[in-house]
Amino acid sequence: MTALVIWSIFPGAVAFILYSLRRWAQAVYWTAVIAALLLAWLAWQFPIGEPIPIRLWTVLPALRIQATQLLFGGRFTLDNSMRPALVLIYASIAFWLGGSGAARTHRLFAPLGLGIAALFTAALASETLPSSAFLFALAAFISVPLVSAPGEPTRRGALRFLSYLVSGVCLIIFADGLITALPSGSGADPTTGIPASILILALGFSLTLAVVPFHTWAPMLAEESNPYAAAFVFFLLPLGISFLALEVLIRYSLPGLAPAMFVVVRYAGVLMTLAGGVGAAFERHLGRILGFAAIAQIGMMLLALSLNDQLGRATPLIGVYFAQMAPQGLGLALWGLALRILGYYEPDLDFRSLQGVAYRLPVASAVLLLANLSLAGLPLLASFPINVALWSALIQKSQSAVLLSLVGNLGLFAAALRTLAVMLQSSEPNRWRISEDRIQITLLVAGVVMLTLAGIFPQAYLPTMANLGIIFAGPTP
Amino acid sequence: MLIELLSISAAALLTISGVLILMAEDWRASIGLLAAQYVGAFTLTALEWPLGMAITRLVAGWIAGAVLGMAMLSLPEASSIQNDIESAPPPPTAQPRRYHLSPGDAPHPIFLVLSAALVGLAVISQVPSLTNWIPGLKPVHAWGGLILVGLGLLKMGFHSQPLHVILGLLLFFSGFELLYAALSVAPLAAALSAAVTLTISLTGAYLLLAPHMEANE
Repeated sequence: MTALVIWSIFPGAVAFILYSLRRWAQAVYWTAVIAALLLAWLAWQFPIGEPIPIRLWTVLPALRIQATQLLFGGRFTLDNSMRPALVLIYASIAFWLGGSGAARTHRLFAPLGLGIAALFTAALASETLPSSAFLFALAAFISVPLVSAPGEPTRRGALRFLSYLVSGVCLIIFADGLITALPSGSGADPTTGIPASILILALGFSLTLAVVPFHTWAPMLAEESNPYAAAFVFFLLPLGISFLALEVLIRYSLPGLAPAMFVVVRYAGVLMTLAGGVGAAFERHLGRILGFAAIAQIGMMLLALSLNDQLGRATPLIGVYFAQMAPQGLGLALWGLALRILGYYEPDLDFRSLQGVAYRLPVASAVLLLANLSLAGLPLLASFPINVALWSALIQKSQSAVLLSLVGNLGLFAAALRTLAVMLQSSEPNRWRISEDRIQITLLVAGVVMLTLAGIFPQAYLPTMANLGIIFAGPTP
Repeated sequence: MLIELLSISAAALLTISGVLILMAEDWRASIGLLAAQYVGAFTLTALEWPLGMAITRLVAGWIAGAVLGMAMLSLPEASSIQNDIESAPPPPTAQPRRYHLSPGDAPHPIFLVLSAALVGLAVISQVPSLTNWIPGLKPVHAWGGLILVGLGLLKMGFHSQPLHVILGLLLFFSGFELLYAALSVAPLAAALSAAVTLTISLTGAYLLLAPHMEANE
């Protein structure tokens, strides 16, 4: 049995079966959560390519999970260095699916979420960049029904998201084809000396990662669709594409790729953090604020990627990029869930309609603010320790990048303060009352506890996450 | 000689069908033209790739068109109006609405022709440098690929209705496939690009039908 069968084909098949059985929403929901948890546990426990003794009966031969699978002439390899990524993907999927019930997402969320994870895994396993990019594109197409729910009109955000993504993926694949086919340095721009293929590659990643000025779909998507589903897309798709970028920068070390690329990645990150923060600070719609916050988080992710400025090899600083994912995922999930609960009771998420909402929905309002503040990097909350680690490492490379990204985070902080002011503003005297149901309250409170614990005791998980990143980005055995 | 004639005809077919898809408001005509466009793309690809692999492009493209056509036929309003129109002649003053993809927001045809001409000029200027740059890329392939990419971008940019955007994406992706065919002949990439074509059309079908589905579906 190969690793691809276990972590990609099997969840893909389960996703397809669950899609067929979507009428039984509860059963589908629980099966998807359990399947994702099981796959994360398998990745955590079982080494790939080594004999695994089955202790039930001594006569049974040791099981061995093969690392490589051949498919249509292409090689798909999931070795031990990929296990951290597998744990991360399936644990994240289980976490997001777990919250989808309370977020009242539609019935397709669980099967499609599992299908996206299966495709992401196949993309990571593929040994060629074009195949990986095609598989990421397929995962993105599958995510469209999440943000454009049945029974609702098709909105421009979803169409724009689709257009940018297809264009970006095509450019990445085309650039890879050019880099492979052409001698190094051919087709270079005479003024800059940068090969055009590298410029095309950069443009492709900019389109897929919503780098400014290709970021407009993110706020639109968050405004028009279920915020929880939008937050899921904002977390998972950039994560997948950034894995691809990491592979390009570190694993493949493509010819023609100059160390200056890391500076470009850094300033793209700064631009996104700044645009996201400033956009959030001046926005008046809570959904769009979430979209801008997601842009800022992608910027922080790019900043963390740019720390590893050694072409073709990973440095320990890559751990920062990996460690960032847990607090970001937690913050976005809680923000999306709280916003969805607010939106369920108050369909219009514009500031004018939400005046005094904290009195009616205190738990959701408080959690939304805490998630916002956490992503802004407020001390004692989840993102603070990793943001400090990022800024400490970054200041040795570029002080201006740190300063500008701090300004971006200040924008997110300002957005939280404005939201708080609106939520408490009321012309009439109000009495506090809890309108959320028990499941919603339980999930929201559990999320806040995690957010706080992650901020107060970062030593409990950050070293592990950083080590996972170093193992993932290290040389393939 | 025959191959040259074939490739020039295929490039001409791609250009004409692409421009007509850009201008067409009738969804049936658009899907018919899409099928013709995939014939042109298949012909050009078959000159670079083994026939067995090239034919996946044609089959995937035609299935994509069929999926979109079935989705359009499944639209509740379209189906009901269609029955009325088939039993009675259309009013002389206006075209029946079911034949139109967009509710009157399409740019003027002259503007579209001028935009397509501009794309054509840009492509003409870029074909020599692209063929110099990519070894093995023939001018006809470069023309076909770039014109489809350009027209696809125009189609996506001018419209916000799902079918238009999906047709634009299919044009764009088809152009990309033509250019990429000169760079790589990998069976896995061919299979995955066919899968992407089909998934674009399935996503388009979903986006067309989703507003008419039940919320709990």
